[in-house]
Amino acid sequence: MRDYGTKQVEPIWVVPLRRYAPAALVLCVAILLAIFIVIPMHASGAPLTVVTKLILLLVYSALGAVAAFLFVEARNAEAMQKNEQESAEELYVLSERLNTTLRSIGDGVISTDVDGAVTLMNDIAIQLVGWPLAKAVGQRAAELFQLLDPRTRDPVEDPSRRVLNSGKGIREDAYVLLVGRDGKERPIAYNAAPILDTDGWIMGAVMVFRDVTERRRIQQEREELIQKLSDANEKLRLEIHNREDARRAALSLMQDARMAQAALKESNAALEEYARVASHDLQEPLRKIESFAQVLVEDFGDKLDKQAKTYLDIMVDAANRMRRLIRDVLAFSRAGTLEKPFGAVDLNQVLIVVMDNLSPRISDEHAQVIVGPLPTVFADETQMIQLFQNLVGNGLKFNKSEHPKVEVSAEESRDEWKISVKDNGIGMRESERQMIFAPFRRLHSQQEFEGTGIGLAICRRIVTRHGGEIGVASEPGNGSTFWLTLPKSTRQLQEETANRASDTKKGDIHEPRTS
Amino acid sequence: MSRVQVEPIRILLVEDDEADIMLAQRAFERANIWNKMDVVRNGQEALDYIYNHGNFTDRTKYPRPGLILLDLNLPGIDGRDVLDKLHKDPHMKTIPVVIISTSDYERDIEFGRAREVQHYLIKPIQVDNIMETFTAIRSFKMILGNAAT
Repeated sequence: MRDYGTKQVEPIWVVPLRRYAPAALVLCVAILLAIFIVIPMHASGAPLTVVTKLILLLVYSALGAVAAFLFVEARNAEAMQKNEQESAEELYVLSERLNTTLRSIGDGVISTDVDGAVTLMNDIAIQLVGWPLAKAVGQRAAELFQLLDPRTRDPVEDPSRRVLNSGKGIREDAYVLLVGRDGKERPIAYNAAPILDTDGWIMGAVMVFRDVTERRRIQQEREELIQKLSDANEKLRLEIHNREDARRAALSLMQDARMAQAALKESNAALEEYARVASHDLQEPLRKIESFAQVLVEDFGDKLDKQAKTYLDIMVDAANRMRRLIRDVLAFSRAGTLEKPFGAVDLNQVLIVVMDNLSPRISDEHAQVIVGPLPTVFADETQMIQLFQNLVGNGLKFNKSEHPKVEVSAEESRDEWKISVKDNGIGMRESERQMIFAPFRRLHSQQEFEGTGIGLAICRRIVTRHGGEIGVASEPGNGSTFWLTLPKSTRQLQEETANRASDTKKGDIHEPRTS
Repeated sequence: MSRVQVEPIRILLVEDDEADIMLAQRAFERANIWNKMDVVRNGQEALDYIYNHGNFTDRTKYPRPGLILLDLNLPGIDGRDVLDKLHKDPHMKTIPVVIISTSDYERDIEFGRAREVQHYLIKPIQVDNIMETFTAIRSFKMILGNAAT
């Protein structure tokens, strides 16, 4: 027999016997009555009175009714018992189902009755609170465990109590600490709800606890990761910020530089203008001195004696020199400020212009200027003309030979050109070589050779601007060779590397390459 | 066959520097060019002369010049303004103008070229650059024909 709880176990035949016993008993009484009263009466031969018959009839009817009643009762009892059994079976099945379900829930479930006493706990709940079911049932939830706020460690109200008092559910899912019987604190998330009967009355509460230790751990890890990321982010942002600052500083520096450059250009332009205007205004009176000295000689020549004419010559000469000095100072300042951007300049063309400018002198002095093949350079054309006109002019000027000769030639090396201007002039001493490039430094008196001493200073300024160097090799009486170097432009270097690679010769004729 | 100059060429010299005026006048004398030169010393007077306004209303005394020698740098109304005005006037732009200047500024040369001046002269005015000027101006060939160099 199954255990339906506290029902006793009985052998199967006892119950029906007991049940039908009363009916059987009544039947026995009727039979006994019949045997011991009716049949002997009938057998004795005495006539039965009507009354006796009536009484007999009543007695037997009553007995029959009672027996029937008892029998029906017994049958009802049997049916009831069967019902009870069936109900109990159903109940058992349902109960089992509930238990299995509860056991299968991954969360702890505790339900209480309307007074707050525990009625049900599943295995997980048992684990969480640490109380076995037998001990827990009937206790108040607050006696089994305590909930604490994880931050403040204040006690949190018993959810079943709250639900029973408010009649409303708690869908908090908040994270609290559950302190069970063993005192250990477990992080859980809980929610609770009222258990309502079909009429809507509260008949209890149910609480669900979820162990969120794992979740907390993951959360923690995630928070740590986020923190790490955020830190890294901060670092990056700082880095970017610094870079931004640096970039901004660089930009602002560049702006400053550009502004400074613009200001410099402006001031240069202003100086240039000033120098030009000043030089013209300075030259004008000198020109008048020259003009009128000439006029004086022309108009009053016959009235002037030789001495007077000499004085006039000296005056004119001085005025003339002053003008040339002013002009050269202007040229010197222009060489540094009036700069045009560089372009490709064919030096052969430059020398043609120079020779054209110097042609009166060349023919007067029966001089010879030989120009070898010259390269095309990256330069300021005007300044190149100025440069070579000075050098060739000097070669012709500082020359006492009968047939002055100036030779211009070029040498190529990997990164630059070296151009030489060689003359058969008077040459100079070793000590003199250094100072001739300084402004206004002259080696000779005005009587010997006219000049302001500015020409070579201008040449050096021009060459320096082009990134080259200038110098002279000389021996007294044996002529001088002025040389200057001009670096090749990056484009030219690139072209040459490409050409060398494809092994084609350039269009320009160069001197034999010196490695 | 050179034609004969029947009357002196009327020259208007627009110049404020006394010494330069002296030199110019002397140079023209020596160049042997038959001329009658009038001098004005600023831009306003130059315009008055040419348009016969102000002090120069008498057309017989101040006829239309055959040549204007114009200094660009003048007090008050500048030589450049005078040149501008003349160039814009179709009646006056046909008068030959020669710019006289102390310098050979690219800017000024271009200025003159844009306004169709006949020549650009660097001061001081001397015989040689007068001759150079007159040679440069084609319409003056006949004048040169009469000039003894």
